[in-house]
Amino acid sequence: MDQSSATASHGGAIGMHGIKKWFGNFQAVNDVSLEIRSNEFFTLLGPSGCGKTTLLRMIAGFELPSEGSIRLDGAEIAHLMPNQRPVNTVFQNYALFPHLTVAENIGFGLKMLGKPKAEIEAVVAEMLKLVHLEARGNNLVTQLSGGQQQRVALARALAPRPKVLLLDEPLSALDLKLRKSMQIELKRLQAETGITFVFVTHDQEEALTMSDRIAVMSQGEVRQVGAPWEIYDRPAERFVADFIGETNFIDVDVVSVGTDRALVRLPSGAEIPATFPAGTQPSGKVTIVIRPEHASATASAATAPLSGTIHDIVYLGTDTHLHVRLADGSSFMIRLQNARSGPCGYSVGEEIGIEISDDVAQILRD
Amino acid sequence: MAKNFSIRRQPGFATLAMFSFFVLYLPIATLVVYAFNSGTSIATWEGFSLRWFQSAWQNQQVIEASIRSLQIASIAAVIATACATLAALATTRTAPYRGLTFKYSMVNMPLLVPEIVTAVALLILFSRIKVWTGYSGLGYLILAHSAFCVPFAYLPIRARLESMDLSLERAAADLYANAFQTFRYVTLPLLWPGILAGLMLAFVISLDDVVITEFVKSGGQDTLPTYMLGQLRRVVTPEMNAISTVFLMLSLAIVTVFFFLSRNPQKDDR
Repeated sequence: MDQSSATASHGGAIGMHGIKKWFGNFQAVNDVSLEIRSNEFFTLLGPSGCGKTTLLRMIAGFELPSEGSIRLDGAEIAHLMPNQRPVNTVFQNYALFPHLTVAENIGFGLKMLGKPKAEIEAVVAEMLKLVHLEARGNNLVTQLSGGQQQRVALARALAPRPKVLLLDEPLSALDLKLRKSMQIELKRLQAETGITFVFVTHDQEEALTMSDRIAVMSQGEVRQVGAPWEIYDRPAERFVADFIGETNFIDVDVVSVGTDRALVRLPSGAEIPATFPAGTQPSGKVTIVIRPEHASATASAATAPLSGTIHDIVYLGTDTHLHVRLADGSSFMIRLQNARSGPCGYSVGEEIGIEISDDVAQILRD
Repeated sequence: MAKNFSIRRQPGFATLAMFSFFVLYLPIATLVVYAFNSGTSIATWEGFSLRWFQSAWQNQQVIEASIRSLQIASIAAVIATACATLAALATTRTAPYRGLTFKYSMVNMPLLVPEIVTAVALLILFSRIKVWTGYSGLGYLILAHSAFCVPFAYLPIRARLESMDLSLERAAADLYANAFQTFRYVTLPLLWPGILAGLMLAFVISLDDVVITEFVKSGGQDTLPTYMLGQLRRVVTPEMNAISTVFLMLSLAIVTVFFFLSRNPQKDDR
């Protein structure tokens, strides 16, 4: 690891192939292959128990994969001890050393690497500045607030200039406001240091806000990998669509399939184009998703592709949600942005048409 | 119901508690009081005096026995604590495996084995070794004391290790510390209060042991407790009270320090 200025370091790329992990009879990770690019803010997103933390711990070296290989910049690291990997972790509970000061905590990694004292002091000072804790270097970590401890944990993990920084739900212990500002802070640190960040969270909003790319996991498998907009707008399967944001599922018939769009027939008989996951060939009966904000209400029920009766109106400040009962009995949600003040202008029991924006429907893989 | 029930509000509780304390500490209080008796009786008060402390201080046998006791206790406590630390690390810093519970019981067994059994066993073993080697120094006593002090030192150290956050050691390893550095810079500093507590406990236990010492010691190897036992068979003067009082104060001091060290093991950790 070179010591150079903050911006010059180069994040490592991680390649995982055929990773499997059993704990006794329980398979925590089932055949995961992922390519994490250099300098990327990569998020492993999924509900608790989906295997995301196990995957992270295998990159750190706290768990060994039962099968498969992990490469860092092309070199196999799956068998190395944690202290032999140029990878540092920000732990969920921070795991700061209670008997050491803030500065000693931050300098710990460099000290273990046998760096000269002057160099350690310089890096520690730089790190304290990076996380805005210049005045707290000589405090014991137990004297700091939760948010400050969080920043010390970050500085401690960044100080040895790892090629990859692993973050295990580091924001989950903070209150909402602090969490929001730390999200921005993390994004800034990642951009400034150029270190590859691998971030684990179960919070979809956190993942969408910060990530360059997201891997959605469930039951030990990666369900979809993509940029936040792809995960949100082009979910490949029901689990992804359901886990991230709110959505409407509609059962439709495939009419024809083009190169990247298919034409589907809605229950009302109207036909709309829909995108589909790469590598699939939709046919017959399929399910499409339409996000609530991609639909809008119109008074002309007869000409709209979908129509129904409003059975619930939920006012949320920024938005209003209209819950519409369609002709076939299923429910459809529309999100209206409250662009003006005052009531939304609709009432429960009203018959409305639903317009669907262009190119927003996505066919799910079954 | 359980919430509202308090034993402290039961009739007679306070009286009974006071009485129990009284019975528990009366003999010791009497002993301490008569250490200051100016007469030669341990039952008839004749006036305040420090003469028996002075007399004990000038008694060559008492001084030699005290020094021997302290010597044995210090060395045995260090050896026992070192062994106990290793045992505690080996039984907590490992994935559970078959036989782990068996190991716990093996380490703690000396607490359950009647002391007299250990004493006789050591007597027989050491007398053989004495014949073979011709060595008859303090080593036997130190060895014996070290052995039965291990479980006492083991308990606080293991308790401390078990309450320690494992992710700290993981964090050290993540930050490039090898196994030895992790122990040196993270585990040991955090374990230190437990080790000190174990050391003191072992020291106190060794200091007042009678049974095993009585069986294992060679001629002229009296420790303070066995010397006092010997004296009691003859004429008893308040000198015994004076020695006991000093002994009591020393133990109390050590136990007090132990209490403060072992209190809230995680208090400074979070």
